[in-house]
Amino acid sequence: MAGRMLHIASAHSGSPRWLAIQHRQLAEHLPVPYVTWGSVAGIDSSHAAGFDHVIEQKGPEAGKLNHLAVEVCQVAAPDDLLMFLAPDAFPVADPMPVIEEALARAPLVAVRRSENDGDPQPHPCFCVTTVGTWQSLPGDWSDGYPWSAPGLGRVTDFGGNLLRRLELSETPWVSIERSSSSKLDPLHFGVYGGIVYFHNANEIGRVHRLDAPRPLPGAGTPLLGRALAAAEAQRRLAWERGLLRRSARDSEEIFRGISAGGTEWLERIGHNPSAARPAG
Amino acid sequence: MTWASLEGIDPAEGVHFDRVIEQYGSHAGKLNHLAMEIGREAADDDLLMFLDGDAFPIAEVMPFIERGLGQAPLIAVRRAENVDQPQPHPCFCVTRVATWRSLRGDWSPGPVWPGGQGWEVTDVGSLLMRKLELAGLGWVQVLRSNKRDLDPLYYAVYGDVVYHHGAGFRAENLSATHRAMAPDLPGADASGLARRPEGRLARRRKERWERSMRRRLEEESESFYERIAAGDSDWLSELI
Repeated sequence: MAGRMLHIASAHSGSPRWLAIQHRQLAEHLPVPYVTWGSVAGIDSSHAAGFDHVIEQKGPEAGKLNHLAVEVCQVAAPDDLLMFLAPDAFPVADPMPVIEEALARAPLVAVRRSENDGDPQPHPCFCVTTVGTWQSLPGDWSDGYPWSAPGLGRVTDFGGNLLRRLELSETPWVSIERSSSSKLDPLHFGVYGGIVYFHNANEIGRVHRLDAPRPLPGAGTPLLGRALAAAEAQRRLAWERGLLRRSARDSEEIFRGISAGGTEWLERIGHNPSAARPAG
Repeated sequence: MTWASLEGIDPAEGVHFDRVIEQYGSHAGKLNHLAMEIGREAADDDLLMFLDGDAFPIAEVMPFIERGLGQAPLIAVRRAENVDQPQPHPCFCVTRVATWRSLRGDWSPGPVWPGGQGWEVTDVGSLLMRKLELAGLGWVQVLRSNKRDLDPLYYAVYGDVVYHHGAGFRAENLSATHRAMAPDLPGADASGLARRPEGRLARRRKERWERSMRRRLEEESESFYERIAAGDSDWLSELI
């Protein structure tokens, strides 16, 4: 690590609620020199002061991360480290031993959310590589390339095209899997590799959809079709609202714990501090 | 050689293409993915053309492309008519495979510019524009060349060589150009004022106008599409 800089890219939007927490956690857990690159779309510009570099950008998160990486690569050295971090993600322990050990084995290390119906792709909630690797791949967080989700068929998501790039260039990567054991939610409020927390309370993921209400009997019947489709849509909406309401309740409680500092909230989500290692 | 994806389309339509790539998701992501798959097989000197699903040539296009690539390494439509959009648009863009590789081409939105309604906007192609800027590369802008405009944005001819229907896949969203045609309704966009009766009324009137505009655009688009599909060139003589 000696001599090389760690560049951290994080695209915040809509709310400043995670900014101070993310920066506090980075300062607490990163023992190496680093610079932060961020954007604050839809957030009062006074909150931009927390970043070393603020880039004006809008749109979906994949494009914003690609853009942040372009700007980082303009000034960084090929050996510098590039870390992508979701706006509501942050380290809960020193991640550098895990990062160094992983990058000694492969040029890219990232969260893999296998718990989300077997997601195979690197996820940008936490990913570290060198600037040189990102440029030579070249990296791209957009969706497009599909895979088979065991429960839901062919799907794509953030990181799909990066997975394809890695495959085509035969570049191995080290995945960091979920290490927290809480039953609060199968996808939200997770710690990965014992080092990074990802709050992610607003996403209805594929793992949630596996428990979505089954279609009503008779769906597809010509005469009943329209009425049943309307009833299906209402049931699905009610199910989604219920899920997000429950998650919002837990989210607020956990957020209060995080804001207050300390480690009680980590116990609630089943964090295992001894799990600080990459998976495979 | 043609490369395409057919998300939500009968796979039997794949017979129209040399390669069909399975993909889903955002427009920019799908184009990036197609370019990646092409890059596996193509030579550096090969040409790479991006073409929207509702765009096609209406004249011999190769002399135009060769002339353009003699001036700059990338040529692309610029929809200046859409509140002065500055970026290359993927409805028609041609470059060499080597240029796309060295540029690390990416159609994602992200970088912003001042939009027509007082706030900053982004769109597909903005990151490509930024990459061109950073690489110090110029590009040839292919501008709208309609002699007659049935619509300020749709039914567009660019450079006298390419047609872009424009209304092909996005009837649910109004473009910035069409939104700018809305009647002046003070308070319709103000969230604070909208809570008051006059704001709520303005917002309802605006929503009604938008629904009516979308309906009109859909009807006109369908009618024009049927004329194109019929195979004669009468429709084109209305534009050029």
